[in-house]
Amino acid sequence: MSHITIAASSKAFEKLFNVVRDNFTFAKSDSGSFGPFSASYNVKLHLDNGTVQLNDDDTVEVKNLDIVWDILKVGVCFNLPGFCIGGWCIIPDPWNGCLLGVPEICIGGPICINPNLSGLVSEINDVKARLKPVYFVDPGRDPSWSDLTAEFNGKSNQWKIFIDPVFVSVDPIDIPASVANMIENLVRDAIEDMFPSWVPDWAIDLLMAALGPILDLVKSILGFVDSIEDFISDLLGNTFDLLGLIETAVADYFASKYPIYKFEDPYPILPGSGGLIPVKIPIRQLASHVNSKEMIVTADVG
Amino acid sequence: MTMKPTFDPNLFLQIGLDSASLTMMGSIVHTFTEPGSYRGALHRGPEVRANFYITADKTSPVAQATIDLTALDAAAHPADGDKGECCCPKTGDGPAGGNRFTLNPRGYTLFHVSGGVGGYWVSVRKIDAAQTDRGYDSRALSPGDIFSATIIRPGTYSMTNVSTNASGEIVVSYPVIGEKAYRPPNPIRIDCGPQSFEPAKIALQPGQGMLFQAKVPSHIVIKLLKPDDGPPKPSGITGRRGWKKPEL
Repeated sequence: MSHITIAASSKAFEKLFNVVRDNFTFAKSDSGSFGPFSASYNVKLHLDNGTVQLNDDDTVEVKNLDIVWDILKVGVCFNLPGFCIGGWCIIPDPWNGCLLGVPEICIGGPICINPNLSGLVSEINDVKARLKPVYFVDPGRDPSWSDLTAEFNGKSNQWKIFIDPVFVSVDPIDIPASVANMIENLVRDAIEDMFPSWVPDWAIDLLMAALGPILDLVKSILGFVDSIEDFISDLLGNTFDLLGLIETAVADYFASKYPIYKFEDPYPILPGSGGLIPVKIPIRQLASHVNSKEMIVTADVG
Repeated sequence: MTMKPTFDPNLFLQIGLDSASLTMMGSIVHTFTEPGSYRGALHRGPEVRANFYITADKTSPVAQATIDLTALDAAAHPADGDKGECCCPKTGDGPAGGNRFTLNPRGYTLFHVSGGVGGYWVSVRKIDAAQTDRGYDSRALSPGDIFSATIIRPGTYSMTNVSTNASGEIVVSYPVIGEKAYRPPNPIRIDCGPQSFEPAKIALQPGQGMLFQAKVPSHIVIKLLKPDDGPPKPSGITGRRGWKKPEL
């Protein structure tokens, strides 16, 4: 039987988890070229909400954990095909071909759109984990120091209990359908910006007529058949593998960056006072488990 | 991804056409039916900008010689920066381009302007022609020539054959943003007869071509009479965004 047993109720565990959750941030940017278009993103996110469940099989399960995208900016650049004049046949040949044609002259050019989707919320639908105690030796601790000297220098050894995920699943980023309107307006603005200010309205109207419905044009250039919101979700989540990066970052953070609880070793029993040094007991063989009611930490003294 | 803009402001600045002064919106087709070697000169106004050579060879399988006047000019005056962005160094039909073109006498020579301000005309004369033979001058279209013209600016235009005083009217409709991307319909053919155009009234869509077929010596001039700026914009929308001082 262990010398020490500490328990935290599921409610207390949830409060401990909330502290861990609130300290998580993730930021990344990247860019790439994908044939007919190039794309980039810049994201920063934090976690919120979520429900914690302790299970009798010694696992912790976190569900419906919100990903709040503080920054979610996407950039997509592509070549606008524009409008061509000429290109017709002047003198057809008798065999349905063309003996003489006029070369085409085309108006077009590169445009970039930068939809800003900051403020969106998506979800980590499931994190399944076990508790993992890790003994931490402060790398700043001088090997010659006693435990007491290390404490005075703020470099005590520690037992840290981490939530060690075995499974993290992030839902696809749910881009709202209203983004289609945003994209349409951005493309329209980008086309107008492509022209010098002196270009008359009729020329822009002609180009717009030649381009046809903007979203259909964007779909055909970028080469997708689904909705624009699905395209962006797929671009970020799969093409750039942002979902995988977040899953890895979350798993890494829970498993090794921020413990749900930590104990100083040796553990202080009585503080130093009146010229006496503090009383501390060494903790060995620390173990942590959960059941449906509580988290239990056991350890030996020695 | 490397992307290059293809935007020539002259497309929007040059309203109207003149077969004696070619721009991006107008091309001329001519046939050199007599076998032999021809020497041509590219002119802009009174100035000779470049020379070129055409060989009409019965044994040639080539049915079309496309002569880009912008490229010819640029090749002859590489220091000039006024040729738009679409000049390609290869102009002729030889392995290295250049200013020599060969085609069958039954084929067609197309003179066109690929970019820049244009304003070109050409004169072509057989190398061994008699001194009295003035050769071909594109300012006066010969019977059989075709003047290919495009108008993209909506409005009402007059068309005049300066050589015959024939006249007519062209109405170019305003573009409409529809369910599908707009593509100009096939070009309309217009006969330039001794006294009239046939048809004399033409309804065009923007960017739709016109093929003026000269039955008699012709010089086609198209001028904008009344622009069509489309339906009025809803109040507050000018079509162009601009900075506006915020109201306090």
